[in-house]
Amino acid sequence: MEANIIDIKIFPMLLCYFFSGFLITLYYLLKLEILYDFLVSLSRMTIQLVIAGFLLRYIFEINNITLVVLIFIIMSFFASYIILNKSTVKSREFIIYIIISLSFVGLTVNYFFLTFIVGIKPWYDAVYFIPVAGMILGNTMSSSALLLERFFNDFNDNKKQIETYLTFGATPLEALRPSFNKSMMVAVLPTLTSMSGMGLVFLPGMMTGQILSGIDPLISIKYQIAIMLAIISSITFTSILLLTFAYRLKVGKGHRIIID
Amino acid sequence: MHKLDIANISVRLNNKDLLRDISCSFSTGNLYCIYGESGSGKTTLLRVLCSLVPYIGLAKLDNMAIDKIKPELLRIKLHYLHQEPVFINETVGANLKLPFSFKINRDKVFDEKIAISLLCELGLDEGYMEKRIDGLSGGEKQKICLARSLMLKPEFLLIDEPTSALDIASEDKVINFLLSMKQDMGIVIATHSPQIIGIADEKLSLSMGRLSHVK
Repeated sequence: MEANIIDIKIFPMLLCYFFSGFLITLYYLLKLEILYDFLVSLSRMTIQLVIAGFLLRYIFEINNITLVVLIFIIMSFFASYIILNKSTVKSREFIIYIIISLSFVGLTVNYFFLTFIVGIKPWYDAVYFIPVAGMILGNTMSSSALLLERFFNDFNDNKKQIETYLTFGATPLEALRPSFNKSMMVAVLPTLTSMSGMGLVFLPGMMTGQILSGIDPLISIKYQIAIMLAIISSITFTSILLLTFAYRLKVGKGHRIIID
Repeated sequence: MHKLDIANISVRLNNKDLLRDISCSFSTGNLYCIYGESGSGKTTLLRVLCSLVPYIGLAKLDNMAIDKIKPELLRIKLHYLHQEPVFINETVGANLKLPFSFKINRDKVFDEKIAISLLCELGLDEGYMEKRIDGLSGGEKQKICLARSLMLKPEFLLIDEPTSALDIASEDKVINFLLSMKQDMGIVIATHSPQIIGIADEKLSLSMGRLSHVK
């Protein structure tokens, strides 16, 4: 198949925003509180993607390892900041552990995917590295926010049960196992649900993008399968690391529940 | 025989002094009662004894500082029962087995005959093993909680208000049962119950975090 994607002109783009105006009007007439969040998110998405588009052109031209890793660190930092704000973690210092977990796992999975699966050389080729890192970090960010929120809420709701288990001689890991299970389920389930529907209910974003660019679907499915496995690996390993750090905020020395 | 000694224990939480300079000793073969008005520090003292709250001072079990003992092991030796027991949403039998699922207890065997025997001594028949916990009364749950803890054979049993949900007849049964168990362990009970205060070998009175007198 020939790579021949149709460029969307300015006027049709503006038409998209015109349709958004209908949504804004609807939220306003129904007095829905989501209106403000929608306006903020729409503005942020527009501004951020426009900036990203121009920046990516520049980055793809330069294409050196320092710049690519720096971009990755910045992406990880912003993702960590979003995770911290969306979850109910009171300790702001916990962001350090989120950055460590997200960057270490994200970079490792990204490197593995590009080097051993796609086989790109060099592995830090910006055209591949940044979009793939974006997909891995983006999905891991969403799942991590859900994970931490669920863990801390579940801990608060079940403090007495956890302490009861500790009085039976359970280690913190044993006492917290039910909370860990629920948190991992919340983190991983959306991706598993998405994987179950792929090819039947919908064609995922990466595959759609590649097909629109003229790539053979049989090539695009290989990328899609590989990236989904990379994403679920990143989510799983990051979640395990985050829970390892998170429980220490709640159960401390002497296996005592820490009082806030 | 085992001995639990505490010296100059103070607990301060959220800018409040919960316990102030408490010193006393406990030994197996005795039943101790801690009494005082609400907020006097009874529960806090029990929780200090099994190291569930941070404290200043010294606590020793058989002359070894309790913070030097592996926490999982300490909690079995000095076993604390909450005032409001917590259960898993399963049968009574599954709840009695629960502590044995943790690594520290894996070398112990859950003996169903002993479990049934304990339940019967507390006034609950064999049929309770298959009953679901959520269908039981507060008093029945308190008894099951006590049986569950005794299955672990602790050196000291630290009980917070064990008879608060029981009628007088059940309270008598539980008290007599605890008296029969004390030869194998030390029992420390935080309570308002005049009956328990009456039968205790030693009575500790707490007021505003201070041990005012020991009889």
